[in-house]
Amino acid sequence: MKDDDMEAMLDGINPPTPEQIRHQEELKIPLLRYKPSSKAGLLLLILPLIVALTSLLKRELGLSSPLLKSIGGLIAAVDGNPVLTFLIPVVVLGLPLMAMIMNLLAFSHFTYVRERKELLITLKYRPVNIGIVLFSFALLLFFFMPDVLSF
Amino acid sequence: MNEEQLLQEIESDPQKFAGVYEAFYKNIFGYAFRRTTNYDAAKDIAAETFLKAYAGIGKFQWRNISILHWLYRIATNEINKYFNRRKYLPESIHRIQEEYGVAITDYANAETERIMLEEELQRHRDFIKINELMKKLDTKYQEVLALRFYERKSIEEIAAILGKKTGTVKSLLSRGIERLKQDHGRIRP
Repeated sequence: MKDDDMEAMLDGINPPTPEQIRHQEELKIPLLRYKPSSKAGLLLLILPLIVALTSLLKRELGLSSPLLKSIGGLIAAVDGNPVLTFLIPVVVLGLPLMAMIMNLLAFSHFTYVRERKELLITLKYRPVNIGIVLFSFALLLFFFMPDVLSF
Repeated sequence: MNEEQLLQEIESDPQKFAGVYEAFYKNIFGYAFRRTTNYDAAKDIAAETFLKAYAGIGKFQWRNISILHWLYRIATNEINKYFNRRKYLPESIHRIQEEYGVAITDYANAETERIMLEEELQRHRDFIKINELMKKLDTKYQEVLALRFYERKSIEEIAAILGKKTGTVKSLLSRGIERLKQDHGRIRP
């Protein structure tokens, strides 16, 4: 057989064309809902990180700038407001705690084996999720230090 | 709307990716099915391709390579993984299953659809014969031959999909056809 014959044979081939598939619609929903938890974890840390950085730069390193002053002023104003004061613990404790839990669940898997009455905990190596958990924990520890939030 | 505009819209609203999915899912599933001739594998490969595309659409830059060609590129890589590993494990699907506890490629009517596609496949005897021969070739030949003769892509399109020069594609095609011819000659009585 010549190469041309094989090429002609390949040219004339009639491959299957699966047109009648219906699973496409079912797959679309979870696909478009999917959001990696690490990204959500990072977003949750933005506000507490701003508070922590402001405190660190202003109080610990003694730096001063109009931006730091205005952020510090805003935090002090929110904290001083009897209606909005609950926002501070939500931002400095609630958000890092939420990011920590979300990312902790992303790399740990729990299975209860009824026959053996055992709870098996599997930890997967996922550097981004582990990093976010450790960072969230560090932020929480930082906020528990005395006078960190007195601007 | 052209693809460049669509990409800009997806950037501001990721839900617009549904348009890409609806427009190209059948192409990608069909490509995976023709390459693997396995319904479940094709479904996993197509899902993995779109998950990876969805996650990476922000990094995709419109440089005269169409979205469909980009999807073909991701799918080709996944198909290569499927052929190179004893057990294909689609990473993104697996991660979602672990994080959310949902098996996203489980489909209630999968059995019916599988039977339907297997019957459809049996009606293409020449294709099955050639495909069996093709699966024995090196991956580099399989890729170009499948894109040229199953997907009917031009040399330029294949070059764009695989990120190769047109000269390289031509040479791989010619050598792939030659090897296919030799293997075909060997099995003929």
